Amino acid sequence: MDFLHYGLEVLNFTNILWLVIGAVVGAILGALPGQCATTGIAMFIPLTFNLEPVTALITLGAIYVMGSYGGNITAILINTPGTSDSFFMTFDGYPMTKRGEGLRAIGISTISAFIGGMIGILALLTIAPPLAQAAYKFGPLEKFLTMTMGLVIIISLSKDKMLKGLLSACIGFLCSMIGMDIISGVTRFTFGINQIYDGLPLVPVILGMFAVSQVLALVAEKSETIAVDRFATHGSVFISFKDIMSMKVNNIRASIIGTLVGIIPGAGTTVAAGISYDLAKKSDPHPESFGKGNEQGLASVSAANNAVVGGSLIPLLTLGIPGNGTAAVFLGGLYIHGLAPGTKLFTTDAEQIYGLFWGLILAQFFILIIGFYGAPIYEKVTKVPNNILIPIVGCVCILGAYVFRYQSFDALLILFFGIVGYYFRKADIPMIPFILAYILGQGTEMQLRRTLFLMEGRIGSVLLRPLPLALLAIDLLFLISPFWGNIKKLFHKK
Amino acid sequence: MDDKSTKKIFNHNYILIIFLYIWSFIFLFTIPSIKDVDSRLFPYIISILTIVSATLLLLKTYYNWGKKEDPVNFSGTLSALFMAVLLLVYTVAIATIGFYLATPLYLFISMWILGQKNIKLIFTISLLTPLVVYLFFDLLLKLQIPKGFLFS
Repeated sequence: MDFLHYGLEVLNFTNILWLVIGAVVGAILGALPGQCATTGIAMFIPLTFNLEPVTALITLGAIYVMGSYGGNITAILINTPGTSDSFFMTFDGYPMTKRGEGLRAIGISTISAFIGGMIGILALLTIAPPLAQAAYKFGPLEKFLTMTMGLVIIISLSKDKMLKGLLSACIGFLCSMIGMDIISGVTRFTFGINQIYDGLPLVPVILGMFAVSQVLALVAEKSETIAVDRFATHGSVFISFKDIMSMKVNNIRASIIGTLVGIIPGAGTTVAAGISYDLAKKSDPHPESFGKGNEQGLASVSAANNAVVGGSLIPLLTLGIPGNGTAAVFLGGLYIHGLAPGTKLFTTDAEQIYGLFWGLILAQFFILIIGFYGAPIYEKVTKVPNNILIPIVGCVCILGAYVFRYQSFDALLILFFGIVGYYFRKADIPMIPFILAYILGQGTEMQLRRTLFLMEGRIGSVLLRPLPLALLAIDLLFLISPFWGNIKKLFHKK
Repeated sequence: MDDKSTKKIFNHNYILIIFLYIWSFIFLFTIPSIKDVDSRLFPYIISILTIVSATLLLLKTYYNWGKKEDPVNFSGTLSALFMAVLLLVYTVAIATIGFYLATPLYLFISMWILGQKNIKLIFTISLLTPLVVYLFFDLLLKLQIPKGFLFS
């Protein structure tokens, strides 16, 4: 089996060391309010540029896993979720802390996150390779429709911000067209700026939009250190096998929900946690105890949160459709290291991808280590004041931009995109359509032009094949879905 | 009547719309100068799509179509812009005096401005950060950190 074969090759000292670094960085960023796995991956893409692709992917994968888990402990202990992903964790985790069961809550959350993460990766391992094989049958039209599908789904999920989502995607496409056209080799829209002859570089754009804009937003918020109540904790972080078994239904159900929601682009962790929590509450004999420190509620949210990671990587690695914002930035990491989603990733570049899978599995064990042994240290991380954190993150961002191509221009570019990203955040413009359109822009254009070239004069016969028709139907379905309520109302009136 | 109640609040969407119109029209006017005819198709599609979408947003904003948007809070933007200027100065400083000299200065000033008053802590972080970068990125990762004219 490829997975086991490559496992032995990639699990060397260097890769394990980078896995540990990624896990620690992810865990810290996940705990810090205002920071998240997305920022961590954005900051580490340029810094891992000199590493072997497999090592870089393992590092980024570890940041992703631990960044998702990172906010759990602080949400439980001090009622401060590092990211919105851990928001549901405060519902039952913090009440448990208030009654002196904080360590037990961390134990439950850790075990459930581990189970959720493992189930998500199991799904990734079993679904991704055959799906990638199916992607082999994709021609230019199918590829074009798949690329637009990701965008259509993400824009349609913007709900009442759909128009802004569309405009955000348009800006991403406009940025992607700057520089050399990869088919004809002619330059477009560079306006005499030599540094963008090859196009707007990916790293400064991602760093600016996600990390620098976050730095500026934190400065604008003027928040200092988090003021929290701290409660005494008793008992042990280790929970019994009997307790684990009593939560098995919620853990498995929430893990499956998390994986499935992760696969759907744009849905995200909050949706997965919300659905799982709701189902756990409805199926519990004591629903009134939810929100007051119910262990089943806490377990379901933790499992769902971490299962999303594996789920979101399935469409990303096979079809190039990211399940959420972090996955979109992760896609940038793949491209930077010369890897592209699809069949080739599971055949020619199998070492890299199976290395990533191993990295993701090992990162799950770091959840156990940090959860069981690092909670007291971890809590202190959140006490880092913003007036120390902001300058350091700013420094890493500028450094990241410099070391990418060794051009001062890139550092200026991240400042420009930092301000653009800040405006996006303030004006409530969804950022994910922008970054997705920007990353997929060149590919979408290439597939569109290839399609038009191939189907010249026989549009019907090409478009009326089952696969393009199915993809087109999905595109249309998602495009119409936000207006479904209005359409139903229209019919009822008649 | 109260002056404030009759005064129409400026909608920030107009800034976005104007910006997009300018960008799209610059692209539209530049497209004919692209030498390869096939390379013009996608830019045409996207530029026109942008103009159409921006017009829809203009109409939506002007006539208040659909769900009313929450007013955008731009408070703190001046501080954010000041931080952006600080980062710009830091960027220029890296290019001239190098990373290892520019970083302690930048960290010291920015931490102080952002309200950190513990001088010992500021000094420690300002000196430790470049050291960590040197050990981790310069020595371990072999990344070329800009050294500036003093070290070159």
